[in-house]
Amino acid sequence: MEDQREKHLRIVFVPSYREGTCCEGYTILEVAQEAGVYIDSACGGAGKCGKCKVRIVSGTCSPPTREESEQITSREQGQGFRLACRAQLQTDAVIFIPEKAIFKGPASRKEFTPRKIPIQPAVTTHLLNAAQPHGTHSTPLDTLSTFLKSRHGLNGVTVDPQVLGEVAGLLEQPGEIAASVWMNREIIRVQKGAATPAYGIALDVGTTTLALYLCNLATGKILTSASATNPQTIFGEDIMSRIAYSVHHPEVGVKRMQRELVNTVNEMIHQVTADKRLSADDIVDMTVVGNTVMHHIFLGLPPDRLGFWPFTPTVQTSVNVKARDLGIDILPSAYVHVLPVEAGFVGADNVAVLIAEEPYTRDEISLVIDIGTNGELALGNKSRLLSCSCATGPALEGAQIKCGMRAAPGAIEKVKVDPQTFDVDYKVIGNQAWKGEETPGKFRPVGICGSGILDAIAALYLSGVIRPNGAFMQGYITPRLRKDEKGYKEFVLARGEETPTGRDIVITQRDVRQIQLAKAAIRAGCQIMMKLLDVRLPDRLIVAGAFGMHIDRDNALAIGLFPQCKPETVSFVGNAAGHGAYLALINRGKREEADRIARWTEHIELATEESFQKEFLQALAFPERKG
Amino acid sequence: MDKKLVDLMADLMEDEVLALVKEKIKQGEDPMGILDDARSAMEAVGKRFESCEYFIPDLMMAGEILRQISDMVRPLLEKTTGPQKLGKVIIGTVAGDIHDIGKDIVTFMVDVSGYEVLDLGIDVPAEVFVEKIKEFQPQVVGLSGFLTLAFDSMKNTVEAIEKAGLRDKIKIMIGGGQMDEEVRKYVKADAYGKDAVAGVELCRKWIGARQ
Repeated sequence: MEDQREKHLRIVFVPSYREGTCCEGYTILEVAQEAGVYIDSACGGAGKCGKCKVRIVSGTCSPPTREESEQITSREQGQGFRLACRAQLQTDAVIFIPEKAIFKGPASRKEFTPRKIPIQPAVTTHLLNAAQPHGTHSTPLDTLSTFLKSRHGLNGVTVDPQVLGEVAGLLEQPGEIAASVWMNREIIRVQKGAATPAYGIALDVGTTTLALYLCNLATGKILTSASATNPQTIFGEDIMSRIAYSVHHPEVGVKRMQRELVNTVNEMIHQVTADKRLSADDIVDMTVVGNTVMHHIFLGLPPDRLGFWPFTPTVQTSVNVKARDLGIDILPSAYVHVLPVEAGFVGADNVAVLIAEEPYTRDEISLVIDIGTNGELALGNKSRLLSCSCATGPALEGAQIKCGMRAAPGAIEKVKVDPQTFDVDYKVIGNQAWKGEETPGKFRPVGICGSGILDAIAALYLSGVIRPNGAFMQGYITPRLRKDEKGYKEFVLARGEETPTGRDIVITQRDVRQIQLAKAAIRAGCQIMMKLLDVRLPDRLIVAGAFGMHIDRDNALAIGLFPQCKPETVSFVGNAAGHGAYLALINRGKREEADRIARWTEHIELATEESFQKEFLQALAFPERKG
Repeated sequence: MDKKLVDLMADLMEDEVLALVKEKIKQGEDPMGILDDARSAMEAVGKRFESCEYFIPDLMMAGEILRQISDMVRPLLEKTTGPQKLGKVIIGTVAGDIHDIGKDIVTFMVDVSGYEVLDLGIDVPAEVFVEKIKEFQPQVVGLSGFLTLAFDSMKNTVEAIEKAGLRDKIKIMIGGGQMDEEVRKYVKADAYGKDAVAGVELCRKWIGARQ
C-alpha cells in the first residue's frame, strides 16, 4: 500500500548529487531506488551480500543491525559505513556511495596506451662494495659518497636522515650494498646484497575520479592500475565547491580534504601492492598530477586564492615532498614528485597531457582538448603554444541534466534514433547488447550519462527533431516528443515500462540548452585561440580525458563540440594526464620538460578576451548538417 | 493591443515587425500604444525563454528588435513628454570575479526595456559600488557573479552599501551561474534573478511600484 505520510526527509546521494525524499523508517536502498540512484544489491536487499555498503556523511539512521555488524568492520562502522538495505533513515541525510570497490587491472576506466620512451627513472640503484671495517675514521656518509663518486660518477650525494642509521649498520657487515639514489643526489634506501626491483606509482587526482598506476621502474611496465571515486566529493561536487569548503572552514577544511584524499590513495596503494605481492617499501618513487585545486589540496595548501580572480596558485613549479611528510604509504624516505601547474585553472593535469602528447615538438598545429567539468585547451606547435580553460560545467558528465547520472551501471551510454520512425535504441552500461538486440540485459536503465546525452542530442539534431538553434521542432511528429506537466518540451528515450523506477527517461529542452552552453564554452575557447594564432583549422585534434574515450566522434562533430576538423585528424587518447604522470615516473627528463613547458606555454584568460562574448553566443548553435 | 504586432515580434520576425511599426507611425498611431505592444511581446518572449524554447541568442534578438522600435518611437514621445527613462539601474560583476557574459546580457535587456543603466564592468570593489550609487542614485543595483565564491564578495558589497547608509534607498538583485535563493539570503539581497528576463521583471516590479 502506498505510504500516505508526507515525505519530508530530504536525502542527498553523493557523488551524483541526486536527491530523494522519504518519511522516517525508509531504508537508504529504498530511497535510492526511488530516486534512480544505483546501489549494487546482489541479494536484493536481504542484508546478505554486503554489496550495498554506503557511508553516512551526515544525518541519523536506526542503530546497526546484526547483519551489519557481521559485514562491516568496526573501523568502517566508525567511519559511518552502513548497509543501505538495513539502515533506516530518521533525519535528512547525505549518503556517500563508494565506487564499486576499487576498479583494478587494465580494465580501469581511466585508460591510456603507454608509449615507448627511454627508461630513465629518477631513482637508480647502485651496487657498492664499501664495507667499512671497525675503527675507521670515515663517517658512513663519507664512505658512501666517496664510492658513489669514484665508481659511479655521482657528486655530492647525501643520505636521507632516517636512512643514515641503516647505512651505518650495513657498512659494518661485509658484502655488497644496494643504494637507491634519487635524482643522483640523495640515497633514499639501502639494502643488503643485490637490490630488489624498484617500483613506482603514477597518480592522477581527478576532481571526481582517482587513477593510479603501479610500474616497474626498471622495465617501465605498468603492472596494474586502480581507480576510485575521489573521496572529496563529500565536500562538494566540483572544484569551486571544494575551494568554498576550504574558505568557509579556515585551516581545518583543506586538512580534512587532504586526509580523505590521502586515505583513499593509501587504500589504492595497499590494493595494488597486495595484488602484486609487494610491500610499501618496494615503492621508491611517485608522481602526481591533478588540476590546480586538487594539486593544492594534495599538498595541504589552501586553494582559497584559486577561487578569485586572478586565480593565483600558491606554487607553480614542480614540488618534491617526502612520502612520510604527506602520509603516503610508500617507502617513507621516497619523494613524491608533484608536477608543475600553468595557472589557476590550467593545472598539472594539463601539463601532463602536454608532455604525453608533445604538441611543442611538431610543425603541425595541434589542438588538445581535455574535457572535464573544467575543459582545458591547448593550441599550437613548436614555435608557440597557447592554453586556456573554459567553464564547461558538469552537464557533459550527466549532472544538471534531468535524467542525468554519472557513467555507472544502469546509465544509458549510447543512443540511436531512427530518422524515419524516431524509434530509439540504446545501450546501458553493464550490458553487452543494445536494447534492440532483445537479449534482456542485467541492468535496466535508470538514467543517462554524458556520452548518451551527446548521442541523443546529435541523433535528434540529425533527424530534425532538434533545430539548428537547439529548439525542439514545432509540432509533435512522434508521441516521444511531448510536453511535460509544466508544458516544457521533452523527448522520451526510455518509457517507464523499460526502467526499474517506472519513470520515463527523457531529454528535456533545458537539457539541450545545458549541452549547448557546455559546447559553446569549449568552442569559444578554441575559436579565440585559433584567431590569436591565425589558424583556420588545426592539423590534428587530440581529445584527452576519460569522457573522450566514450563519446562518439561523429556525433561530437555533428553537434560542433569540436571545431569542424576532418574526422580522420581526430584522435582520442584517453587519460593523457595519467599517461603524462606515468611518463614523468619512468623518465626524469620528462619532469624537467614539464617544468619548462609549464613556464613556456602562454596562458589565455578567456573571460578577459574582448571577443569572448561574441564567440560564445555564435557557438551556441549547432553546425550545419552534413550530407 | 495589436495582436499582429505582438505575435510577429514574439516570433522574432524582425523585418516584418519593423515594417509594421514604420507603417503604424506613418498612419499616426499612438506611439505609447506601439511601445506597450512591444513590451507585451517581450513578455511573451520572456515566457518562451523561461520554458527554454527560446535561448540566449533569441533573447538578444528580441532585445535588438525592441531597441529598434524604441529608437523609431522615442523621438515622437520626446516631442510631448520629454525624454522618458523609467528609472536608473547600476549593474556590475563583484570583486574577485571577471565573468561578464551574463551581466552584459542583463545590462542590454534592462537598457532596451527603457531603464537608464550604468554598467560598472567586472571585478568591481564594494567601495566603487558605494561611490557610484551616491553619484548615480539608482533605484536598483544588480550584483553579478559566476564563481561560487562571488557570493562572499556580494555579501561584502551589500554590507558596504548598508554601512554607507544607502541600503534603504535601493533594491538589490543578484544573478549569475551559482546564485539561487539560498545565496540571496546569505548575501542579504532583496531578490535573486535567474536570468535576464527575471532581472528586467524585478526592475519593473520595484521601479514601477515607486511611480
